[in-house]
Amino acid sequence: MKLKIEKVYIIIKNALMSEDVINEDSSTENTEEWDSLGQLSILSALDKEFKGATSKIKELSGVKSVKEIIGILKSHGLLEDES
Amino acid sequence: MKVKITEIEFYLPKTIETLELLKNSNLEWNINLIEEKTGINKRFVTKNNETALDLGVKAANKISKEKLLQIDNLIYVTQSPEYALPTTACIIQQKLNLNNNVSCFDINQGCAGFVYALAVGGSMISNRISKKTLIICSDTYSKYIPKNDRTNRPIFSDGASAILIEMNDKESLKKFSFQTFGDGYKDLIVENSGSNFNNKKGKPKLFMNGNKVLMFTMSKLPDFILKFLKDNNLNINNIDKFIFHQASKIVLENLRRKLNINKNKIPLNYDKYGNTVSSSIPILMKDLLDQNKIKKNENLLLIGFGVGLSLGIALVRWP
Repeated sequence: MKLKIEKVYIIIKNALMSEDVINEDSSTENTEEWDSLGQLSILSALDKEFKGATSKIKELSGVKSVKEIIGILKSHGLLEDES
Repeated sequence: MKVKITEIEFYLPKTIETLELLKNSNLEWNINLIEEKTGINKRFVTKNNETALDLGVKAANKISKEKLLQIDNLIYVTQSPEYALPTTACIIQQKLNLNNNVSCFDINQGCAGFVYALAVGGSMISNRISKKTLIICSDTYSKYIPKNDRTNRPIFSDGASAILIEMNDKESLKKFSFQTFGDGYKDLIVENSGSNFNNKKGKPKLFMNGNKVLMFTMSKLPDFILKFLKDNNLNINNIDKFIFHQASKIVLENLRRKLNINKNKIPLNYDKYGNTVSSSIPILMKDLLDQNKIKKNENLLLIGFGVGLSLGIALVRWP
C-alpha cells in the first residue's frame, strides 16, 4: 500500500498530538512533542496506517526527522509519486 | 507434558511510586502523556535494604509449609541475583527451610523468564527428575533505574511470584516454543554490570532503546505467534486467552492490533502493577484465577518477550 507524503505529515502530527505544522523540515530539534515517547507514537501510527509494513523496517527506529522518515518510506516503495 | 500449575502466589514491595511523585523531581515530565502511552501511573519499588531475594521468599511463603516441604526442585528466575555467586536459588532453599533433597538453580531471563522456567520445570517433572517444582520469579529493576530516567522509571515495577507445578494425569502444559535475537542484546541491558564491566566506572544502570524494542516486538512477535499456532494446527480463534507479558499499553495495543485479537481475549493488568518483568504473566494469571476468569479446559497462550532479545510461548490447557 502507498500513501501520499501529505498523509504522512498528518499521521506524524496526530501521533505527536502536536499543534505545530508538520512538514519535511520537522524534527526532534524543532518539535517539542517529538521526544522518546513521541517517537514510539510515530512508529506505532506509521505501522497502523501502512498496515504492518513499517514495523519490519529497522532503520525507522532511529529516525530524528520527517525528512529521514520520508526518505526511508520512499526507498521501500511506500509513498505515492509526488507528480 | 502431563504437568499442571497448581498454585500461584505473588508479593509486591510496600512502597508505591506514582507518576505524580516522580514529577516532583522531574518538573519537565508530562505525566499525563506518559500515562496515556504506558498505561501505568504507579509502580512498586523496593527499599534500599530490600532485594529480589526478599521478595521471592515472601511470595513463596504464601504457599503452605506443608507444600513447600514436598518440593524437590527450585527454579529461581531473576536478573537481580543476590550475588554473582552462589546461585540465589540455594540461598532461597535455606531461607524457606526446604529439605536438602532439592535441586536448585537460577535462570537468568527477564520478561520471557516464566515461560522458560515452565518449560524447564515441566520437562524435569515429565522426565521424573522432579515430582513437585517451585518456580520463583523475582526482579528489582528499580535498583538499576535512576529516578530521572523517563524511559524506564515509569514502567518497571519490582515484584515476585511463586508458582507450584506438579504431575497431572492429563496433558496441561501442551507446547512450548522459543526464539532468540541476540543481535539486539544491547537494546535492553544493564550497563556497568557483570564481568564485562569490571574495569568500568559507574553504577549498574538499565538502558533500553525503546524504539528498537518496540519495533522488535511489533515485527517478530506476531509472526512467531501465528507460526506457533499454525505448527500446532490452531488459529487465533482456538485460544481462549492470550496472557501477554504486561510490557506497557503501547506495546500491547500494537500487538492486539497486529494480531487482530478480540479485546476480551487479552486480559490486562499493567495499570495495577506496572511491568513486573518475569512475574507479570503469573501475576496476571493469579488475578484471573482469583476472579474465576480462567475456566477448566480453556486454552491459554502464555507469551513472554523482552530482554535478550527473547521470545517464549507456552500453550496451556487449564486443568
